[in-house]
Amino acid sequence: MFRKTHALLLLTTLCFGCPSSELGSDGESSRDAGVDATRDGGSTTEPAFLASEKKSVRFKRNRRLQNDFAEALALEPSEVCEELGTYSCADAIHRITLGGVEAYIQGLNEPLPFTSVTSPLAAERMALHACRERVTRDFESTEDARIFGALPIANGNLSDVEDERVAATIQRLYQRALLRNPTPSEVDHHRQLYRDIEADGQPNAARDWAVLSCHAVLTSMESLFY
Amino acid sequence: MNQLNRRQLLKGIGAASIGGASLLTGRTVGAQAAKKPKFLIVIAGAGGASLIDSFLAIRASEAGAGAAELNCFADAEVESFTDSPFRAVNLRRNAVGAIPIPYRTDQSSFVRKHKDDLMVVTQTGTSVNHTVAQKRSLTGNDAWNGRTLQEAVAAEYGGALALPNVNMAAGGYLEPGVDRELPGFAVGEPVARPDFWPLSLDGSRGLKGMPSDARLELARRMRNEKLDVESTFARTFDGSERLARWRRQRGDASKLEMQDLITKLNPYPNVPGSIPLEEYGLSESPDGAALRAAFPRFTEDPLEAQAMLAFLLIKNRVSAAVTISPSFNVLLNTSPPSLTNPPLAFDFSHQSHRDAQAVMWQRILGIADRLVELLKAEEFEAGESLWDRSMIYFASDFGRTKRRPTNSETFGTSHNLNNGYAILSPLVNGNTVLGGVDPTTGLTYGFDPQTGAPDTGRNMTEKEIYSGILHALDVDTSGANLPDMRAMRRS
Repeated sequence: MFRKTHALLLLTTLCFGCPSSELGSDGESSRDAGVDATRDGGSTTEPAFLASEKKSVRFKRNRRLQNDFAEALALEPSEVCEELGTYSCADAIHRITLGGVEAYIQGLNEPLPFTSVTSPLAAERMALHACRERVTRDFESTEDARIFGALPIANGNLSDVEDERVAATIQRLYQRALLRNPTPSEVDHHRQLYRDIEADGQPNAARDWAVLSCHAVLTSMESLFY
Repeated sequence: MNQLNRRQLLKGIGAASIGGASLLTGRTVGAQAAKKPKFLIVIAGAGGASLIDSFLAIRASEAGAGAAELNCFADAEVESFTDSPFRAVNLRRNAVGAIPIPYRTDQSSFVRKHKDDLMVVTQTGTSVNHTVAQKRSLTGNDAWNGRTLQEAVAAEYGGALALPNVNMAAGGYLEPGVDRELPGFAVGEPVARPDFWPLSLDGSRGLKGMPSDARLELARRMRNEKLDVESTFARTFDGSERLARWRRQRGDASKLEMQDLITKLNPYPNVPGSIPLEEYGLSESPDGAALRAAFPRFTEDPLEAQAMLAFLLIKNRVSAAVTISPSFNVLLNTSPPSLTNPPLAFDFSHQSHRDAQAVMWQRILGIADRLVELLKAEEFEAGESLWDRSMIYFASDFGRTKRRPTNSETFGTSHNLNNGYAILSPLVNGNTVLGGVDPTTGLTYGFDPQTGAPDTGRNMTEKEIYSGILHALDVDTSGANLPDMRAMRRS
C-alpha cells in the first residue's frame, strides 16, 4: 500500500509538471511507451510518446553500427561492408567519418564531437552493402532466409503488395533492426515505396524494394542514434 | 538606409547553423558569394619546426664565444644568397640519431626556387604543450573568438564550395575552433584516409548490385519525409541538436553526390585485384596520372596522399582551406634504407635535434614544392593560376630550445616558445624576413607591423601573425579587432 501510494503521487507530480506540448501527439498523458494509443475510433494505432526534455541522443559510431547492422541482418560483422571487396568500411575506410578513433596513425585519440558532412553517405554505404547481402542470400535460398524469403514474387515483381506476407516481411525487418513492430502507417509507407519503384517499369522491383526498405530502416535516425 | 554589414550577415548565418556544417545552404549571401576564392594550405610542422634549423640558421662564426653551446652550424653547412635574406641548411649525415639510416638534405634548392614567394615571420608563442600550441598556431591564441585560420578562410570564400574546409591533420591541428558565430559550412571536415576518402562522397556508387539512383532516391525520400518524421523516436527527441545536424547533413549529402567527387578526387588507377575500380563501376580522377607522378609514394606515405587530395580539393573548387600534416609515426624503407618520417616527426628533436629538423624540413619543403608546381600549372581564370591565389602556411607547434652540449652534433632539445613561421605565397611580402634572430642566443625578435623594420625589443604575438595571414588572404575581419599587419602583405 505504501509503495502504491508513492507511485501514484509520483505519477501525479510528473503529469502536473509536464506541459501539454510535451505530450504525445494524441494529447494523452500515457507514459507507458509500450502501450498503443488508439485514435480515430480504433482505425489507427501509434505508440504513445513523451517528448524528451534533454533530447540527448548519440550517434552509434562505426563499430556499434557495424555490429548492430550485423545483428539485424544475421551477418557476420566482417560481412556488413567492404569497399572494393577488400577494405573494411567500419574499421578502415569510413572509420573516422563514422565517429571512430585512430590513435596510431591519425593521432585521433577521441572521436570527433559531431557527425561530419560525409557521415550520412558513409552510413548509407554500409547499410546498402549489408542489405544487399541479406537480400541476395534470402532470395537465393528461401529455406535459410532470415527476413525476405517469404515474399510473393513473380517475374521479379511482388505479385500483390497487399499480401500479408509483405506485411510480415516488413514486421520481421523492424523487429530485427529496431526491436519493435512497425506501425500500420510505416507498413503503408513501405508498400507505397514498392508501388513507386514498380511504376518505373524497370526489372527487379521486388529485389530493389527489399534492399531499399532495409536501407531506409537501417539508416533511419532511430537506427543510427540511441 | 541601414544595411547589414557583412559581419552582421555572417552572424545571422552562424546563429542559424551553429554546431554543424550545412552544405551549400544559406550561403549565397551578399559579398560572400561574389568574392572569388583564395586558398589556404596549412602544412603542419608537427612537433615543432625550428626556424634556426632552416631559413634563420646561424653560423658558428657568428655566434661569438658561446658558439660551442648554441644550436649553430659549421659555416660550410649554411648557405646564404646574395639576392635573398634567407639561409639554407644542407646536411649530410650517416644516421638520424640512433636510427642508422643516412640522409642528405638540400634546403638551398627550395630557397632558390621559391624565395620570391617566401616570407619568414618571427613570433613568440604562449604554450609548449603540443596540442595547445598547435591549436594556437591556427587560432592566434583565440584572436578572433577562437576561429581557426582555416575556418576564417572557409567562411570568407567557401560559400559556394562543397566542402570549404577539409582537415587531414591530427591533434591540435585537427581541432575545430570555438567561435560560435562561425557559419556551419566553414567547420572543418576531417579526413583520415585521403586516398580512400572519396568513397565516402557517394552513398551508393562503387557498390555492386545496387538499385538505380532514381529508386534509391525514392527510398531516401520515404525515410526522410515519412519514417523519420513520424517515428516515435524522432518525435520524442525532436529538437535534438544532433538530429537536426544529421538532417542537414543528410540533405547536403546528395549535393555532394551530384558533383561526382567520388571520381574527381580518386587518386587510384584501376588495379585488378587490389583496387578494382572498373569491377565496381568506378574510375580514377582525370588528374590521377599526373598526381601519381608528382607523389609516387602516396600509397605508403600518408603525407603524399594528403597533398594529392589537397591539390584535387582546390583544383576542383571543393575547398578553400585544406590542412595536411606529417604524423608522429615512423616511416622508413629498408631497401635502400631511407627515413621518410622519423618517429614523432619534428618532435624527434628530443632525441636528435639536428637530424630530426633536417629530415623533417626536407620532407615538408619537398611536399610544398610539388604542390606549388601543380597549382602553378592550373589556371584559375583569365590567365591567373591557382597558385596566384594560394598560400601555404607552415604552422608549427613552437620552437625548440637553443642550446646544445659543448660542440655536440647529436643532441636533444626541448620545447621553446620562441620561433616563427614560414609562409609561402604570391600574396605575402616575399623574399623577406620580418624580424630576425640574435646569433648569440638563437632567439628571434620582432618587427614593426607597418614597415617591417626589425625591432630587437619586440616579440610578435600569435594574434599579430594570425591577423597578417588573414589580411594577406584578403579575409574581411571587420569587428574582430585584429591589428593591421601591413608588413606581411605584398606591396
